[in-house]
Amino acid sequence: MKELISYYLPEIILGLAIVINAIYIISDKKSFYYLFILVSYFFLVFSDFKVKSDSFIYLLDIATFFILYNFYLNENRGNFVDINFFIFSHLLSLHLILKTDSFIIFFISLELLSFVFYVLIGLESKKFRDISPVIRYFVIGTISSILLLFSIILIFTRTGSLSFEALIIFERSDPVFSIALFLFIFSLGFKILFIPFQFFMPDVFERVRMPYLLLISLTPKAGVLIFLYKIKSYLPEIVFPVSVFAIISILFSNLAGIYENKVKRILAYSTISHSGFMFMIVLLPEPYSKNVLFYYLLIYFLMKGGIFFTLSPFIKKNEDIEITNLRGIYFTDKIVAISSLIFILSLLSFPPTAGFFAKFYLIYALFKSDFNLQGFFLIILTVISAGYYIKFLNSFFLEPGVRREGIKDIFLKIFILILSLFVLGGGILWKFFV
Amino acid sequence: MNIPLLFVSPAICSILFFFIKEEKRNLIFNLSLLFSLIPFLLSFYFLKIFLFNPLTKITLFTCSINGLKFAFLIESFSFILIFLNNLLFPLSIYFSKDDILFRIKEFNIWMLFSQSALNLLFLSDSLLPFFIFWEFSIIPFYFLIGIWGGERKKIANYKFVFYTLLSGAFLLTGIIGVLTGFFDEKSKIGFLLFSLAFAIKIPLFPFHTWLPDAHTEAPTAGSVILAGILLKMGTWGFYKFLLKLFPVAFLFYKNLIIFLSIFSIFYGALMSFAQEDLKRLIAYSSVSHMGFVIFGLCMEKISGIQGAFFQMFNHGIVTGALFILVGILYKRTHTRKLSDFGGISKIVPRFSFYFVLFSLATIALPGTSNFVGEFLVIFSGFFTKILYGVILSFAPFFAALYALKAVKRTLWGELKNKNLLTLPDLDLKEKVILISLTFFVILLGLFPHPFLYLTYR
Repeated sequence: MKELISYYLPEIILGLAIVINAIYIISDKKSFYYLFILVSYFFLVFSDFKVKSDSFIYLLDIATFFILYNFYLNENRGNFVDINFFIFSHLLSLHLILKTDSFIIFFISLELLSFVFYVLIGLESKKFRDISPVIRYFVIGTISSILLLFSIILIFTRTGSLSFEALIIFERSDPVFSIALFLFIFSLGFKILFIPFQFFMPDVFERVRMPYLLLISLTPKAGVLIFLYKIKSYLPEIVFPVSVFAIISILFSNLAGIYENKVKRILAYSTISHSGFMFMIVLLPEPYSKNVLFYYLLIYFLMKGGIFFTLSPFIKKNEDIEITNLRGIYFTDKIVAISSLIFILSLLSFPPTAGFFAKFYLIYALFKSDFNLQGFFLIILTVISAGYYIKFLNSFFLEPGVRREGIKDIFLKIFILILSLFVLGGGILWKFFV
Repeated sequence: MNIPLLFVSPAICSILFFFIKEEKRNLIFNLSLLFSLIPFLLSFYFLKIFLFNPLTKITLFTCSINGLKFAFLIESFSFILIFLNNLLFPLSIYFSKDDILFRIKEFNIWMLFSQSALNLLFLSDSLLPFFIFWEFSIIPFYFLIGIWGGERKKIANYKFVFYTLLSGAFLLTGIIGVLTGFFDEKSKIGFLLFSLAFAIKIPLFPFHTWLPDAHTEAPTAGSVILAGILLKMGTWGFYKFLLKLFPVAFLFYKNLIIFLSIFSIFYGALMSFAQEDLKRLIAYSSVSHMGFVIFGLCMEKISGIQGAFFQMFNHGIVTGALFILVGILYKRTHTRKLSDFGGISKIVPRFSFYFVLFSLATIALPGTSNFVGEFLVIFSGFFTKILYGVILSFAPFFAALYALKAVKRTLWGELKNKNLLTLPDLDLKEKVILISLTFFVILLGLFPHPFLYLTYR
């Protein structure tokens, strides 16, 4: 019992934080609320450190901190308490996904994660037009959950166990195995933004505000990706279909992004494309896999977080805006413009930014592991993605500006500057991960 | 110890500009000129070393991170391109002083950044830093063309960025293949990937379509650097990496590349002859000249390589000078169309003198430096196969077609356009720039020994 408690200490702390947050929601007083958040965050990270958690969990903690900060900046303060309840829940579910070795806990945590999204995305939709993509998301998500549950049941009936290790003794020639594998990949595809399953995602992106978008972009995919990376050794058959779907989603999202002129939709396609790159990491054997995954996720969080922090002060509403509405940001706020230049070049994986080294090391490891053709495809596909990133640069720097206010919050400015320095010099960090 | 100054001094200056106000126009230009001249003056120090012993190699920095090598060194071949780079940058910054009228600070920042990046590119001795600076050179020129470019700058910019990114993609694949040991010296795929990347940048015949647009739409300083330095990135990579990494595969594809280079020489000249825009005419002539360089490098004779490097240097100087001359005309008349000019030789005699001089240099008239370069290349062609020599001997004739056309249509004949009657002649600044370029053309034309000594192996 004592061991169990010490092993699940961070999760217990998170659970307590969620309960206290619920009390805050019920009671009208909001005194010491931000102190409470900081303290619970501190205890969370400290306990993660104490129990020597997986290093990926720290990454998710960092990403969640980004999300919280962005919500803090862009939400009205009353709403923030409600939202934080869900953010903590989502962090709890991610922790559980990474710690468990049982399918049933995995399923429950994944459902909790999806539930958080349904609520958060639907939270402020007032008109039916806003809520329709959320309903689509909900219905398709539920169907995929049912399929996932069904595949878990199939695994259970044949192996008699719910742990991941049971997959090893699953008879591969059994036709039930193929069905279970198919359903498993199919349902996970919905959850993690693979293109053939996630055709509706840009519509959802268009309707929600920037902090929610950041939430969708960063953590859930990372969680599922780390899960896939862990399950790979028990289920090596999953690797090939995942890589195929990854390449397809990079190709389609990059091609579709070229014809987009709206900011949020382009960000959506960029997210899908990057997640495709990350899922190629599953192909790699050890020890490349872990190092590349960790480095790529870290850099991805930094640059994606950075571009959201720079853009979200200019896009306050639910509605998406044309990219030309952002023209001439350079003239209003030079620091923001230069930082965003660094973030965009990094997203485009342009040397010498960290984004380049992340992709470089991924492709290098692919070549080392004899996946040359895939590596070549990834490089060519990166060039296509320049088609939409260059639109940001065009409107920020080349076109004459309109009068608008820059970012006033000095802390936010410093934060953006630090992030951009990390992204610019992140190539050096690469030495420590390999 | 002195090598870091080559790239540190421009970079420091560009950071300095963040603290200077945009209104202080003269200060900005003078500072940027000063800091870009420091590497040029430093080049003479290296010139002394290399003239003493051309086999010297001075290592700046070598390290290995996770098995990937990062090495920077300077040798006599890379010195030639570094010298050219540091000569053209101060001149084009000096010329831009009254050519660039808005967003001056940014202009100088990007110019200085690209100067240090290009210095680092020519210094790099291993593949990864070479690639990093190869890609990095896109960013300054994206802004130079996009902000200060001509009317069709948007499409030209897209073309430039995408072609260069594509070449970078091929190069990166090749580099990763080499670094992981997947491509060895026989590997044909590796050779093709590298040569495709360089062929886009050089540019060889079917991959050249980005060049005329980018060169025409860029501001004068941008055109000078694009033609003078950026094209040499391809030929430098061709010499430095391709021929040394894939010697066996090169023998297999040698004839194809020689064919493409010869085709580029004549195709570029004929296309140039067909142009009505003066800048476009010069841009196409680059395709023709760079064909000579690749042909010389492919011969694998010492005279071929000498000639190729001679041509690289000459092309930078002469094409740079021609772009500056067109820039001078454009600044005064706001047109580049050949049909708008004619008969201005009497009105602007000094301008006409330099225009004729550099046009004759393009034709490789004996006495100009181009003659020595082309002679060496043709000479090596004769040694390899007489047919090559015979074909190449016709190249100066084709060059005469476009060069004389440009001279005739702009300078000679009757003055049709009466607005040109008040055309002012060269001012002091323009004279300084053109005289300094003329100095190299004539000096190396009459006395090429130091250059030949530097490149002799």
